[in-house]
Amino acid sequence: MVTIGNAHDDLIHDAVLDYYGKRLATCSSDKTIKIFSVSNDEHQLLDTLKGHEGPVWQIAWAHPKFGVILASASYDGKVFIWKEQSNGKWSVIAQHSIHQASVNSVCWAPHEYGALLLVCSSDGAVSILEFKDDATTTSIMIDRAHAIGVNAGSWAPPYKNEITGQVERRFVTGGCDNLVKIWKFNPELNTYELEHSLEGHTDWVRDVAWSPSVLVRSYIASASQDKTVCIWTQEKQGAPWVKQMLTEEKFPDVCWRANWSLSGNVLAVSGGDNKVTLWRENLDGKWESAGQIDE
Amino acid sequence: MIISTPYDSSTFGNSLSLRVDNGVGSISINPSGRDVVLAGRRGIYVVDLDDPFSPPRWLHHLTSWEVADVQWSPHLHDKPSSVISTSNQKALIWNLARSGDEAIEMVLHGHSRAITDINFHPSNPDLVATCSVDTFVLAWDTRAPKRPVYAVEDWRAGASQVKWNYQNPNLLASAHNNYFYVWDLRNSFKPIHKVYAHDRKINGVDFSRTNENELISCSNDQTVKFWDLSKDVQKPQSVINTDFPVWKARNLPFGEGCAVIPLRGGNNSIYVAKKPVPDAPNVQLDPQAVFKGHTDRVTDFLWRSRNHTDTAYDDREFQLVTWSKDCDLKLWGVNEDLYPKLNHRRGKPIPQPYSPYSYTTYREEPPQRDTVKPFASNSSFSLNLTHNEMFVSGRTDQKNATDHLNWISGVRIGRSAYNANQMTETNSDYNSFEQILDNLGEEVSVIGHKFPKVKFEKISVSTGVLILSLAGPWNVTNPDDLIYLRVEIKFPQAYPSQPPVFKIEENRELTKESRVEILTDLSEITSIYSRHDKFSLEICLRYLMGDRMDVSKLEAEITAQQDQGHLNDIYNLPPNIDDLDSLPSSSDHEVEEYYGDDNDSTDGELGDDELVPGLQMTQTLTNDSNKMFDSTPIPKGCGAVWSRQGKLVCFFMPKNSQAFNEGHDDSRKTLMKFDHTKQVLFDNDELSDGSLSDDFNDILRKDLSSRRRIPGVFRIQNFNQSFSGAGSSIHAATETVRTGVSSTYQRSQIEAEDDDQPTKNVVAVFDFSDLIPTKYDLADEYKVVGDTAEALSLYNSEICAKYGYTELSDTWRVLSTVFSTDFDWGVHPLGKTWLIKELMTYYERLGDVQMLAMMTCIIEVSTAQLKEARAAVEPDIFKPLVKEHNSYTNNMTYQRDYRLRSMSSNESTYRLPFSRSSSVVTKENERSINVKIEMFNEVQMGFMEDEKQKLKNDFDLLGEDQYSKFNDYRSEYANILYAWGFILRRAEILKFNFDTNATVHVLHDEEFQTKLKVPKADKVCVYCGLKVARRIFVCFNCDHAQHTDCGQIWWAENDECPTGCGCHCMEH
Repeated sequence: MVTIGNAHDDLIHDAVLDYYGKRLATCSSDKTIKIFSVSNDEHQLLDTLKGHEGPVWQIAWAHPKFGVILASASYDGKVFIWKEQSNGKWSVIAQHSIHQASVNSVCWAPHEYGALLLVCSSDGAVSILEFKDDATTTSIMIDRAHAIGVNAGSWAPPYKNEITGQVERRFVTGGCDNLVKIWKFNPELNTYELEHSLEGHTDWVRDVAWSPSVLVRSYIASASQDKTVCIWTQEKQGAPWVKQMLTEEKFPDVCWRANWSLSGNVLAVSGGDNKVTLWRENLDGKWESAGQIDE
Repeated sequence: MIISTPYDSSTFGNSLSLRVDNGVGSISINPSGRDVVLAGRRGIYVVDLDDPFSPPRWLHHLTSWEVADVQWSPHLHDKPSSVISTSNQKALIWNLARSGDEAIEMVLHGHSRAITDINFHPSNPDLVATCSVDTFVLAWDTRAPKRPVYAVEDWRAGASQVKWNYQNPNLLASAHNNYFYVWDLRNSFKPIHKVYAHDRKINGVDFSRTNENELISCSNDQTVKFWDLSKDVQKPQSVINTDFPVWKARNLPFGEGCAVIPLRGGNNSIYVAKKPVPDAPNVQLDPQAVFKGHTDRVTDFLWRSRNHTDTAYDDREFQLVTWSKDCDLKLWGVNEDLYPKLNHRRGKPIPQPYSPYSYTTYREEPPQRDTVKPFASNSSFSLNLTHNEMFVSGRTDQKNATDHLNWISGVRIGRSAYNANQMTETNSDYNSFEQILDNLGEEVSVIGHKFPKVKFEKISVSTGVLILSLAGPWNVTNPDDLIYLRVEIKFPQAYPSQPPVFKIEENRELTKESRVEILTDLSEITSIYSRHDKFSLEICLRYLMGDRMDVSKLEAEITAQQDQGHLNDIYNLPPNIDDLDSLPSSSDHEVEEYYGDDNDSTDGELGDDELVPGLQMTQTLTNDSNKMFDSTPIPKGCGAVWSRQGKLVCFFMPKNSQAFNEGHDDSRKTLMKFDHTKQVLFDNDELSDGSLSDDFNDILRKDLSSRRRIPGVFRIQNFNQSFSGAGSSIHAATETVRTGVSSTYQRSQIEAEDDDQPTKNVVAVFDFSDLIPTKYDLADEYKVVGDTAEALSLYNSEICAKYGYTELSDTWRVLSTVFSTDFDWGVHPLGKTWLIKELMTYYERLGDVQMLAMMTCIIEVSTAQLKEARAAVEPDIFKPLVKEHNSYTNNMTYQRDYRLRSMSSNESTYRLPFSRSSSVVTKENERSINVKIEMFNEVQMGFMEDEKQKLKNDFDLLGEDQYSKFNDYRSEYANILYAWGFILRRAEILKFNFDTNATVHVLHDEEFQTKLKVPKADKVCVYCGLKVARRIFVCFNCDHAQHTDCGQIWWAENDECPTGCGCHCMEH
């Protein structure tokens, strides 16, 4: 077990291992991002990325086929794309600053779509940033995706429509309007259209996570300030989304994060009680605890 | 200020409380009275009592054993830097004049079990006595530390104490169980005395300082006994009965009497009692002084003394130093009138003057030979006499302001110091210890203690600059939402007669209007306070944190307090009304200085140019967007993110106080505490009860989630009177809190050395791969090619068994039976198709992508196998069938095509319509041939519709949906394998997803898909150098070919053709 204490001078808001599990990126209110190499029980600080002018809320590693690339979302309203150069140093290769308020979440699309980044901001808008092969970027903006603000977004795994054979792009967002919204790409119009708007939370939705597995059905987990986590399932494409509470009783404190494991087997939930709980669906379709981690 | 004699000491006559954590178990004092040494599991700490604001020197010695005892050499001249401490069965002799790395001078190792007590010889600096639970009592000569010079033992009971006689250098006493011995160094066989002194275990023995034959013993039997060895040794001269088991009773260094501390109970106080009159046994404890204030058991006490060395009079003064389990090191002033009560006459002539000694501290790390860093503490610190340079090790340097504050917030001096430290003297008036602040440093330490939520980023008492950050309810739209403020405060030299100057860093959450309002109010408050010479930091912080006060009434309140003579709130101020007119500036004027156009004012530093650029930026940003409020959610402080390897990266908010774990109960406590703190200013009886707010501090600083609760705190306006009383009621309240608080310092201490100790945050990576059905270890060893399906299944079964996955192993074994070619399942409804379907469903529910993908592969292998077998047996019959099927595939997807073909290979065993009566039969070629012929006849007879349906039925046995997902399973599993670095395994799996006749197709990878072409013959992969036949990627431009797998690896990292032809293939 690797433990890193006091990696930052302030609260840590995200910590993510890269695709191969070799490097850990952390970000913090101290406005920095740190890159650690992690192996077995050892860790080593490789670099500290400075540049954001506010707390850095979330970071995301791009698929390695695009290079060693990290996206970061900050309170300063900007998204930075960092790339490790050949000398091991990191530099900002792109900057996305069209948002008017804090950027709360960044999420890379499945690599099949290319280098596509989903950006959610407190200004209520969602933008989808595309990095083309010729190093240009284009972005699609969804204004007023959620009233008040968008707190989180997550891409669906690539799902092939059985009828058309086309891969359909979707993502889910959660916002301050207590809603979970599912958006679908319309290739003709080159826009994302609202497909479903899921009501079920009574307070801000803080995180949404689309299960990465396409196997049985689609799962979305949403964590909210109302101290609940909802599991939304869809049996088949086009079928309605069915809400299920992860737990019958509320969590002791607000729920901040929900994150699926590799194939969607285990859901990790964390929140204001400073605990991480793990959940697994049993064979009867009920969610049962699979563990808990305290500091 | 340079302190070179004890009479320079600011702390000597004063009360002082220092919080020292880290599991310190014992304490001892420097003979000069300057330093104390505390020993614990992490090493020893040297605290300079004259510079309590500087963190202690820490000499590392990690041990898993409690330190039973530590003692500073009492020899001022010979070995003033020598300290001995225990470490289980060894005794360590430290030389504090050396640097930390080499401070351990020698190790005395002679005992076989833990040492319980050590004692420097009072007159011979080379002699040390130790005793241990191994029943031995050893005396050592440190000039020859290899083995003890004297060894005696009791054989039966472990020794709890060993003490030298002060007068006779050859005598020492040791306590064992309920008896004690007196030994003579010159006689190593028999004790001089063996005294069954008590009914229960003896905790301490102590020789008289003046009389060779007198000795005190104390015991769990609640008595202290005085012995005269020259008389009847079996009968004590006198006995003091107490109502608690006595932990230690020692002769006072002055007068005639003893100090007693309880093992349990006794109000955690120290009792100083007169020596009873001889032959008056069984008196009750009649303390002349009680030092009460610790909240937990007092484990040791010392006397700090000072005297002039040039007089012929005994002018010794004493100060009591106590150490308690509550982690407070306390210094207690001794009232002058205590001495005569104990028959100590100060000013008595002495035969010869006390010899001079140097009053130095060992708190500072001596200069090391190599890396020497200049001393960088901001507090005034004396040069010591022996070391003329001031140095400190890098270790101490690393301490940041927070640690420093943690330390100084544990420091409280003088009457203003600490609530609990009341010395209640019998027969004397109750001393009320109102808090009087002497200087800014004390104020900061008091404030730091009282307002744990306030984070001190910079403390510079000498320059009068504080930078601190705190959260206050300044959100215009939502008063419950706390805004983070960063405030710089400059204190003028004349503070508190002149008001401090506040600066608030701009930030986007705080509107300009609020900021102006805050600064206006603050300057008004401070000017009112300064007019009264009152320290105003606390009131300002309370204001900043949302304590709404009527500024206009403040003046009246202060005046009223003064008029009533209520000077004993924490800001005791001498009325200084005369100076009123001479005091600077009305508040209005000051605000103008800040915000008016006249930038030439002296305090005009609040210009925008001083702002942090980032915050400026965000400010603009907010303005631009015209947002009424910032909807940025409360930051997440705790989260967990999975990696593809089944590891879970967790990060947590720091959670420090144990109290925090108590959850709701705690927050309630917190509220009460805060009320308590709040009322401090106006409640006359209130003492600064830092410990309570300290807890609050911990909770708030460490627990972000409680930010959400704070608004509630501010709403509560009535305070809880139960906390307001001074004295013992607080002790009870603080008791529960202490432990939690003490960990704060401990943590910061540890942090300085040990990076793993969380203070601010922690990230941990947990391996939860056991929860993930897809197994890393299996992935590398599973086989899907190179053998028959049966053999592969058996092999995989063994692999699973090897790693202990019994269930998977069993599944594979069942599968091996299913795929067995020697065994025909026939068409039993519960036959193999049913079984496979059930298994697939099961693993689907488990979400075991690995198993699903593996099973599909093996199924494919199995079908291919049967197809080959069939083709070998009846090539002629097989061919037309394939043709037939080709006609179907025209409008079918690739998978169906494949399935049809695989179907065709094994109809004989699969096809329901041709079932025979026996459900399970051993397969015979002849028979199956017959079946085949029958079927072909059907086909040829033109039952085309029927046939199609039947074919479909066949595979419905495996479940249409599932079958169509075979490729998905494999794709997903292949993705996992890629992330795990099993490129070859991935290729093996993906092979099943590709049809030799179909267009080469790479997963979902459109990027590559577009570049792919039908394979060309005789191409060689430019990446791996092997021949490529299928799944080839050829550049349209340079015509170089690669395996698609190789291509993925290459193009993930590069943008030029691997041949070096300079072609950017991906662009074509």
